[in-house]
Amino acid sequence: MAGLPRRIIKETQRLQADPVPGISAIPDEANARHFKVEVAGPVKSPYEGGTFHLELFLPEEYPMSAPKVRFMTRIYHPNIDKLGRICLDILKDKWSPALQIRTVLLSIQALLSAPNPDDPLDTNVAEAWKKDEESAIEEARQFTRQHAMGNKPQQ
Amino acid sequence: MVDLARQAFSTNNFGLAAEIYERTIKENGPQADLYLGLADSFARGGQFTKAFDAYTNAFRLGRVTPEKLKHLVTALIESLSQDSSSSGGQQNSMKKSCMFTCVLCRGLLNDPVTIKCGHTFCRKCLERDRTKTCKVCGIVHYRLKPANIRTNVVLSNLIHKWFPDSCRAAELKAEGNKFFEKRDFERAIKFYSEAISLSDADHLLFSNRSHAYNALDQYDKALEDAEKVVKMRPDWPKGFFRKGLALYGLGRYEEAVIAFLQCLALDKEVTSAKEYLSKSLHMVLSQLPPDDPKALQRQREANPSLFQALVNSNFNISTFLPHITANTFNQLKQIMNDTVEEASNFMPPSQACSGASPVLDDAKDLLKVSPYLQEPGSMLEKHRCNSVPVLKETSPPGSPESVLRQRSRSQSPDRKDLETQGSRKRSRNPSVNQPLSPTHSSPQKCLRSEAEEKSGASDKKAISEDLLSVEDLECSLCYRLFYKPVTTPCGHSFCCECLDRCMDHQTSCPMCKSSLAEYLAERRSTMTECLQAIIVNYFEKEYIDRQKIHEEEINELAKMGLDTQHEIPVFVCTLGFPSVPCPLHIFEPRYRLMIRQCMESGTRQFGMCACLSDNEENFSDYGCMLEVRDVHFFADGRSLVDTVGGRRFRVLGRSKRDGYNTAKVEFLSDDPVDQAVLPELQQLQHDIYADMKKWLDRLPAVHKARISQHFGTIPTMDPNPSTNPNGPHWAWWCIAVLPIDTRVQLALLAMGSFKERLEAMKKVLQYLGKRHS
Ligand SMILES: [Zn+2]
Ligand SMILES: [Zn+2]
Ligand SMILES: [Zn+2]
Ligand SMILES: [Zn+2]
Repeated sequence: MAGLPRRIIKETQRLQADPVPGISAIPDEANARHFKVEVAGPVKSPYEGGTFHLELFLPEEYPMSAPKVRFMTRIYHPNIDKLGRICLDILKDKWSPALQIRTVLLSIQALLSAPNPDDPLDTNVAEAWKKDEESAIEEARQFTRQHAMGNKPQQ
Repeated sequence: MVDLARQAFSTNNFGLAAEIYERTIKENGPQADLYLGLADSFARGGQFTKAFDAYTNAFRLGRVTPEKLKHLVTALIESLSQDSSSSGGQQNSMKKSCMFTCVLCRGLLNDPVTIKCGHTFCRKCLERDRTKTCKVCGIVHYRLKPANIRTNVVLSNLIHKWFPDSCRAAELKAEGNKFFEKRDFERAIKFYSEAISLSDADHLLFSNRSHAYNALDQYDKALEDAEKVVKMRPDWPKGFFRKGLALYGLGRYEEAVIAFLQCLALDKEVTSAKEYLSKSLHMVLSQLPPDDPKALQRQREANPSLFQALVNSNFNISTFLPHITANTFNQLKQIMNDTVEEASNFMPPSQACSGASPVLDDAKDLLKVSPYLQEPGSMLEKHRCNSVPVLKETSPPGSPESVLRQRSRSQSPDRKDLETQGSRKRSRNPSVNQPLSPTHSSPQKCLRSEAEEKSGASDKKAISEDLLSVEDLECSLCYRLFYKPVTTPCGHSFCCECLDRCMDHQTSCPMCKSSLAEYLAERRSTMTECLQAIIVNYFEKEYIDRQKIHEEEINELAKMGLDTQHEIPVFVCTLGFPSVPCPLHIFEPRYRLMIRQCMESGTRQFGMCACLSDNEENFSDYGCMLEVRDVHFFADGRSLVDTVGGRRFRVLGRSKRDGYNTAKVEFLSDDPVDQAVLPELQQLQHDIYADMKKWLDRLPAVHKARISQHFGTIPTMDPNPSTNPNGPHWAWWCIAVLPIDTRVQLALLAMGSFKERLEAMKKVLQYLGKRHS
């Protein structure tokens, strides 16, 4: 395999020098295409106070294909399933090579602030969300307290 | 008779037309119409002295409207374009190296849009120019719609960053233009003046203000501004037009004629200049003094312009010495030559950042005096000065010397000077004039192009170090300095290579998602020239580094298969065989990239391996190189690639690059044939070839047709099967055509001996024969 493309090196440098507020992304020492990501639950969301661990991987075709991102911390969210998979258009058909790791992380943060039960990945959660938003939000808070507080990154 | 003359005139037989008119005048007596026809015939025939003589008679005999002078105007323009055609190419080369300058208005690019051919113009200028012809490269864009092209984002941002004052001035100018349109010329002038205070080297501001002063009948101020425009951009036709209008307004018609002719010498398509040229000529011709030598003398002394001299000499030859008259017209031509010459040699002044003025205070005095009021002798000197190559190093444009050089000693000649002028004229032979232009232009031309190569683009301006950031010219796909930047219709710029790669995957712009289907269909990869020029001029070191990286990448690709360390690209699909054609339909993004890389690196070949399992990374251990003979692209980016089999190889290691498979390989060839066994081998070859033909003959017609359509007819047998390292072609043709399993084909491909291959083929044919019977 060829060396790390200049674009990935630069993106990593810029993420380090000018991080997204509330998000840290640190490349794996063994594999520079692999990032350990921590997202702070956005204020005024049911995830506030939680720290969510994610895994971000840049495939060989990056930036021609989107980064692969997955929640490692359990989260109660209509667009994120039990396995941590995320339903986000820019990670799928709306991906563009001009997008970056930074834009992906910002979009995930935004998704936590504004769950979209009309485009669900976990239908159960989405149903609950649509039927009774208040208790769904309470459930999300409960999940956050249980899984996303005082947690250590999984190995 | 007159009909005959008209007919001769309309068939461009001007000599005959003139002859008939002359005879008719002799027979029927003088009439205005006849003299006009005669004058037109002389003018179109290039005999201007006689033409003016005839025009004057026409004017004395009756009323002649300005429109009637259209043939004179045409003839004058024709004679101008003949003289200036030689310097056209040079002008082009100057235009090409512009970075921030719009060729249409010669100003700083304002709302820049980049069109298909890679050239960039102000949006307004492009909208106004209805020719649909690129003024830089001459390409006609029939479907050009400026409204559908968005602003070139990178360039626009850069211009705003580097020239904030000029951009502010452009905004003020736009405000001024609004008031101008509302015919509030005084408010317009206020805005133009404010803009000038920010950017006093912008000729467009002076031009617009001159226009506004003209509208207010303040012709002296209009002229002052127009003179500045002409001085700043002697290559801009409109500047001379503005000057002509002001002079016309001031009643200085002779000078107006010259100014309009200068405008037309630079661009003979300016309709309004033609119109005003005929108006001015009309005024000049109408104002002729009565047939009184003394009145003429007084007139000449009161207004000793060169054109007056020209006109006077044309109308009353007896008062002037005959040989001067021809000379005078030559001088007029010389002015036009100078105009064109100066325009094509003109280099915009370097500026220290934005807003710095190249116009020196003491130059203003020089400007007030029209350079063409000088005596002819000084004009000769001016040429000598001009023949010093205009090199930036020797004397920066805008310096006092260059101002002096351009406008040598232009003082209004007093009466005493006029006398000496007369004597000098007399002493000068007309022929002295002729060799001037070729001798002084040619050495200048080559010196200039050298200087241009060294100093880069013609509109290079000094930009302060802290504004120069290579990140402003970074491709948002590869995060490197643009390499061969292209710009999409949506105004986004990328390296050509990067955008191509994106379009392998999706036909929308990576930045804004606009459709690029049309862009792709046109297979447009024309570099955005001004971005390239900016990179070369301001980021030379970075550019050289970037070029080196690109070349290394290409060289790396070109080394494929050179040794076992340099991997070959592998297309995992089917098997190819030496010398057998293999057409491929390329649609997968990764293979589109692979084909492009093959073509760009010049290798024009790649490995073809069979896919033997669900996991294509486990491609076959043996394969065949396919050599690209032709690529045909479809509008959507797919392509049809015509290939033919080349060398065989054995896979030593598998890897991936840019999404496709690669392999370290060793190339195979047949073992040499022992001469002792050659006859035996030849016999075997002969038998198998016959068996194969028998098998072919027994095939149904449909099958036979399909085979010949795909693979052609069976190649002839090689008399000496040992000459080719791959063995005889016909055998590979058979292996490709026979209905056998890929694994069997693979085994045949891997064999290193022709004899072994023949024996295997024999078994296959026997098996097929049995199955058939
Ligand atoms: Zn323009
Ligand atoms: Zn062009
Ligand atoms: Zn690029
Ligand atoms: Zn775009």
